[in-house]
Amino acid sequence: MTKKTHSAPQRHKTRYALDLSAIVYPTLQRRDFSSVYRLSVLMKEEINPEILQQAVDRAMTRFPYFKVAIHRGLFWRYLETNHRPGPFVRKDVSNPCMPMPFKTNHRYLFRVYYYNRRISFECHHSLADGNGGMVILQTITAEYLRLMGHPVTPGGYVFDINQKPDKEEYEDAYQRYATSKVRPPRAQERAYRIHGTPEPFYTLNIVDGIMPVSKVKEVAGRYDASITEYLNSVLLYALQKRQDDDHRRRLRPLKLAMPVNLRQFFPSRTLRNFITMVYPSIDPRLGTYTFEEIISQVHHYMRYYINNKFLNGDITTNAATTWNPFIRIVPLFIKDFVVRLFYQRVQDKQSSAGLTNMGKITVPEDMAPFIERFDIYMGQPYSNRTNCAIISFQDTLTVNFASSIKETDVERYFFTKLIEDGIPVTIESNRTN
Amino acid sequence: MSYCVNCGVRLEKTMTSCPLCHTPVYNPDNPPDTKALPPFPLEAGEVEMSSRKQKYMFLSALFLSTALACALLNIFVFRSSLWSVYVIGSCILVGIFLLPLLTDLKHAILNILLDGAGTALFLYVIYKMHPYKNWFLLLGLPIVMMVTLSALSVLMVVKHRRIRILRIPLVLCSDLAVFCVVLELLIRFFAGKPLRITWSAIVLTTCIVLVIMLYMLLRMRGLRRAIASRLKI
Repeated sequence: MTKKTHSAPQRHKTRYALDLSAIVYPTLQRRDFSSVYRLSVLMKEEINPEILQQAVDRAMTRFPYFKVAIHRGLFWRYLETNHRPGPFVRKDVSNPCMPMPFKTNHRYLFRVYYYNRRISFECHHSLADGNGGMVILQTITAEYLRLMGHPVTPGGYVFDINQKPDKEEYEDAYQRYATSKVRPPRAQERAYRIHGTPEPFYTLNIVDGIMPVSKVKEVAGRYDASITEYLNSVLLYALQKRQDDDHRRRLRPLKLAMPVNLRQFFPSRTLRNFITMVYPSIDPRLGTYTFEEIISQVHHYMRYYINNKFLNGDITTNAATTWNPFIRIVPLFIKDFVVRLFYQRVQDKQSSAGLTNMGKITVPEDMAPFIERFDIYMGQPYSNRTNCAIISFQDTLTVNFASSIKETDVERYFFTKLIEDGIPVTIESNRTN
Repeated sequence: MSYCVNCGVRLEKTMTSCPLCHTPVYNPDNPPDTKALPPFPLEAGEVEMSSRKQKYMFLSALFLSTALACALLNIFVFRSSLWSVYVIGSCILVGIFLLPLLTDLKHAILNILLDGAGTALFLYVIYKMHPYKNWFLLLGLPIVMMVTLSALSVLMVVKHRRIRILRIPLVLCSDLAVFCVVLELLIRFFAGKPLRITWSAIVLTTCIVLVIMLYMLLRMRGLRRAIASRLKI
């Protein structure tokens, strides 16, 4: 749903409503926190920043709904076309996913970095989810390669920059598909939280584990599980060991917050957010789980919950709040207060860690020879915990951990389990000690 | 490339220790290549701050110019009384109240103390111009001190590591009860009337009931849950 305003005769400003998920993220904005995620592509040759800037300038003309600034209305926030200069590419930093105050960066809600052979795209979650971000990153990369003299055919995540944008690309797909007649309750039991030593403002510790997809697939197959189920189980296994180390009298359930891409169940070409959370979990209060038991639990949970019926119920619960006429007329500052309180006291406490799997990334055939691998970082967690993100390209699977605590127990248990299962893992990190 | 002898993972060639267990790399045949470009840059980025400082500077300039203009008008045009002192004092006070725009919650205690001190000083200046029955010491200063202490007590609760949402109304009710009683006693003392409470007794009673209820709710977890489940939306 868009509404056009004509504040200046030459420069039309288009307004875009925030999608259902995007409403929440600006509410959580603090001086030391923004919901920012990062997607990176590691090329085979060093990046030329001047050419990259040209590529960004050219590619972003295809996505006017990304060249926007966020504004506050009386009842809701909204996005509006941003005519300020930029966005400008910049040298990468050791602390990715830094907070993104809305009035900085010329009010753009994304940043493009370069470092050696890597192009990184950081995006505020109020603009797009990982799928939308990947389209932007790949379209910029394809344009960069074209400017470097390598023709790339559009297709898949690479959009044709000469095409006009389609309305469906910025639709709020939640509202189209939220049709369930029942609304399952949202609140769940509190989960185990990792207690660690917080890093000083602002540090994001990164640990990347790089491994062959074929080997992970083979090991997952041994347990009759998919790659996602297997890696989910390894993370739950690591968290169980971490909770055991704490020697707490009171155990708590271990839950992962896992975003599910809804496009595979509800066809939509939107680049805005179209995800929902599921929570694969185990409850160690019932007894210690063996790894095989965790796999079985996760496998059945995923098969039971990840289908269009349950997911529809979930998104309807979320969408219903925005349909309520009484909620609609509540001023924004009250909505902000209530949403923030709900997130801090309920939502944030019902998961022990975040895990996202972008899955297998494909690129146009003529682009593949120039790319080594992709990385994804879920960004700074809202509270002290570890976030894990998985992405694969050709035969390279990357598990990217991002955390704002000093301890690395979860990461260590995770990768050690993979080594025990016979998967060779190469580690990269921005940790200096 | 080396392997971590403790975790078994292969380490990127520039790493001198394992980032997972901090075990140093010792590989005489293939030592870490510290001259190669590391996988992540070494320079940390600075978080760009929005224009809070600019906002403060703008507002300061606005109030400063108002104060200056009033002072000049008072000196050269409207000379009948020292009326500009009120305007200048108010402008300085607003400047002090706007200081949190520059700082964060870490300095909130200092900000509240500064607000209290600034208000007391402003009242003292007014008192010097209107020295009526020692009102500054008997009324002005105690009221400012009480409000400052109340603000500090609420801040302590908000900043507490394990904040419970019910503690805030509990402290607010307690503060309100004490404030009203002391205020009535101060007014009566200042007016030379016998020291007893009348209207503040109503506030006190209501606040006591509320404080007891809130305290019970805070103590009794079962009751809290029962109410929460009945009030679930």
